[in-house]
Amino acid sequence: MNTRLIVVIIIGVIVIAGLGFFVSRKAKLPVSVVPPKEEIVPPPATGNVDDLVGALLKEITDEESVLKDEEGNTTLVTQDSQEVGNFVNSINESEL
Amino acid sequence: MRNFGKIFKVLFGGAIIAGFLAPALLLAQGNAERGICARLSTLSSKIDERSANFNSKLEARRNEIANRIEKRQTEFDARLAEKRARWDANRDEHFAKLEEKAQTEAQKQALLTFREAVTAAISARRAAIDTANQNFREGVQAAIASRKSAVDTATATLRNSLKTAFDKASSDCQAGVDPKTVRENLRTDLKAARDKFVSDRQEIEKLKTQMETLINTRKEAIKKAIDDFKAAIEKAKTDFKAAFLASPTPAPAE
Repeated sequence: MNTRLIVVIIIGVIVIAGLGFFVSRKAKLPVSVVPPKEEIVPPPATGNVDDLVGALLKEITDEESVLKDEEGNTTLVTQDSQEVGNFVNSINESEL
Repeated sequence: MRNFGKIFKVLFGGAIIAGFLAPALLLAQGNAERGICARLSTLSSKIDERSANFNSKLEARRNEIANRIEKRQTEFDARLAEKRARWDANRDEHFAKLEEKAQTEAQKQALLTFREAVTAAISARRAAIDTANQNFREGVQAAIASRKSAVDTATATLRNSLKTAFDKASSDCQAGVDPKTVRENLRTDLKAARDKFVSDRQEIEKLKTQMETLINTRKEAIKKAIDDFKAAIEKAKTDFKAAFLASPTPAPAE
């Protein structure tokens, strides 16, 4: 009876430990932060002028999705602030 | 009565500890003042070392920024070119289908005129967008150069001020000025140099406003290019429909 109880407890501990490991591992998996951009597919040709014009307008939307990315370069320009800040903080008159 | 005893013990103990520490602290303070002249060279070297370290880190960061911007621009150009090529091919298919429908000379001419108008509108839009991008990039480069120059100037001013402060302290030490005065003067000079740099830096960080202006200018230019394009396409479509309908397709021969 005691042996069976010990076996059940051991199995229970192994199962709980396994679940805990699985949950913690899943939590640590890298998650894609940047959602994939929605690709705009050019519509098929129909021989209808309105569809052609519709395709021209979709082309603008598609192009705009790329154009927005260029603006991100402005955030890079000031990324030397940390170095400058560290330097000025290293000049500390109270060290004298 | 018991509490009074405890309080007395704590106060008594504190007084003993303070009694031991106070001379040590005063001695340390006195040593710092007396030893300032002996330590000047070490302190100055330490600042020089930090300055050199800052130089190399700043240079590395600047290179990293330049490389990242260049890489992003190259990727941007490639993606834009790829998209444009894809839509050009799609448009050719649309026109090919329309050509199949144009049977009379008038219809063929209307389609040709329409195609030319669409092509011209696309070229104008792309040229305007490319110009906006080019201006934006030049603006970003100018901002980087301006920031670099401002940071370098502020840093040079700081270094000169620090050097002047240490030179003065050294000269005072040699002249036999009271070390306490030397130390206080040096502290004041270092603080003034640092405060000046902090103030200069605040001005430099106003560059963010310049960046916003660049972004807005580009956005407006792109919006105008798109608005003009839409208007041109709408007109071309209206003209095409009118011309196409004016020349009805002949009925098939029986």
